[in-house]
Amino acid sequence: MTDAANSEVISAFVDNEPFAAAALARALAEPGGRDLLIDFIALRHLVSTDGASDQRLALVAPRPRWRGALAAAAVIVALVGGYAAGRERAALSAGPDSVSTAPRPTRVVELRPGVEWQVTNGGR
Amino acid sequence: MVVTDVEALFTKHREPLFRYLCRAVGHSDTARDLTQDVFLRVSRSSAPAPTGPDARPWLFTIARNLALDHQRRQRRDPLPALAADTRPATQDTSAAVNQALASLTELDRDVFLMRELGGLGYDEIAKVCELSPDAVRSRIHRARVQLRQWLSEPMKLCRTKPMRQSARP
Repeated sequence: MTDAANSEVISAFVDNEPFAAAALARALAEPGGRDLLIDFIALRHLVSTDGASDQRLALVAPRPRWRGALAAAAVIVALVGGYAAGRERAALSAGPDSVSTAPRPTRVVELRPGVEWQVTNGGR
Repeated sequence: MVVTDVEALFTKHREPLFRYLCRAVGHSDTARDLTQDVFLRVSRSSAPAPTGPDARPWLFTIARNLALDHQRRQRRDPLPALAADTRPATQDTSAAVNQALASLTELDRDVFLMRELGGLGYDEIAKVCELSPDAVRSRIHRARVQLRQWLSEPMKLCRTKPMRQSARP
């Protein structure tokens, strides 16, 4: 084990504070000094990381759950409203008689009696 | 104080302040409240907040005073301690760390936590605790040596895992 004066330089080194290189070399020349260095780093991990993961600072309010339901409701209202508005608009643009009157035919096909219109004799 | 200044200080310093307060008071909920109290005091302060490198020691001075006030109140009116057998296993190491920290003197603990969790340099800690940088250096070292003895078992486990020189990136 290194003495206190020698080992203090290890603390300063770990903390990235100014230190005397010669003193650090002397401290680390001993096995006790090297153990101390590793232990100081392990201690830092223990104090810094242990329990810290579940202790994250949550000063920002968590997003409320009802916001998702509200968004889904807004989408449904928009879809239903759009469908209804589209139907109403189509009915208005077609005029008042369009619903009850059938449209005029564009082509009339006459089916005369005696003509076997399904039988074909070749041809293209 | 201007709101944007408080926001900037909050964004930059809330995490290290919270980490420091967590270990200083030993309870994350209390630490959360005290962190908010720090910035409440800052926002209500009529004096302009220090800027640049002086801001961090100033905030930690406020945090330390709040933590000391809390500890004094706790000593007067202690909360019932959590029975050891009701504590979840995952909190055992954390409890051991808190117990080891409690074995330090108040000043040694503060100095050590400000360095390890607050990330303050020796000069900054010296300002907060009204000590010389050399005294800070000695106290941090003394705290480490004492904690090393207290936490020898958890540290053995810690040594078997990969480590970085700085625990936080």
